Amino acid sequence: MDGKQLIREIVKGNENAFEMLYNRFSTKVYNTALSYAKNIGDAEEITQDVFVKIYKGAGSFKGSASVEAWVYRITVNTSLNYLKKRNRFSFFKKAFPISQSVDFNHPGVLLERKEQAAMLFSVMDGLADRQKTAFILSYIESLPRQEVADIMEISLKAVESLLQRAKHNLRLKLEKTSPDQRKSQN
Amino acid sequence: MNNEKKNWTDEVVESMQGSQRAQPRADLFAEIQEKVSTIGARKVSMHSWRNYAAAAVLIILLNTAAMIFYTQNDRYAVNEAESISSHYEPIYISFQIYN
Repeated sequence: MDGKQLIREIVKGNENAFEMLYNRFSTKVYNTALSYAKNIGDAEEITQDVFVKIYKGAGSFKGSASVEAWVYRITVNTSLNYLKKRNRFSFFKKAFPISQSVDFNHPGVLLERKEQAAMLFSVMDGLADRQKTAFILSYIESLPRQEVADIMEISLKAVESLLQRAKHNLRLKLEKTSPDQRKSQN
Repeated sequence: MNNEKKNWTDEVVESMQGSQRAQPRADLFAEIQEKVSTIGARKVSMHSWRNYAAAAVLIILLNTAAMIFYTQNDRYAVNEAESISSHYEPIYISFQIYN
């Protein structure tokens, strides 16, 4: 059964179709959420919200888009909204700090790249939402540029431009935290 | 920017390429199903609750209206009977118009 058929079955209330859709997309949703939230608990909560939204909104799915692009779009929007909500309470976090690790270690990252990946996640926070989304989908989810454009509902050129700006901004931030810089500071 | 620094930043930017995908908890779907079922249940109960409430309000209104209507009618009927008997003299109609 293809994605669109699954959505049609979900609209009819078919629980098995919903489970099949979950099995097909849960890893993608979870990993994307993890890239935004940098926290396993939050990524799980976002994943839950995404699938509840899919279940509730299956009837509003427009057949013109691919199911994968639709699922990714819901994931991106849910993640960004979740981060906004989380940041709203940052004042309380500053006042009453909760013990939380500063460096996020992605569970799937290769051992020899662990330090660099942690560095990447720490500087990614400073990116604007659209740059961050283009970067996550292209460089972490490894999606083709055209698919990223479909998910973000922008042109291919706009994706390239966002990626260039994202990489430029990341490099600027990384220069300040590069090993040479840290050595000279010590 | 020297080459060493540039290489390092490039390595960091591309550090997630080739990484494995993290897997969500095995029981996550069960939790999602639970959430979905409670949403459905809540929806149905809210819908039913509205119907029940509307039906109850309608019954109360109809009963109240009926009670008011009947009591007013009864009171009017009693008053009318009383007033007729107390205030009006019996009317005698004489057909003898001409003496």
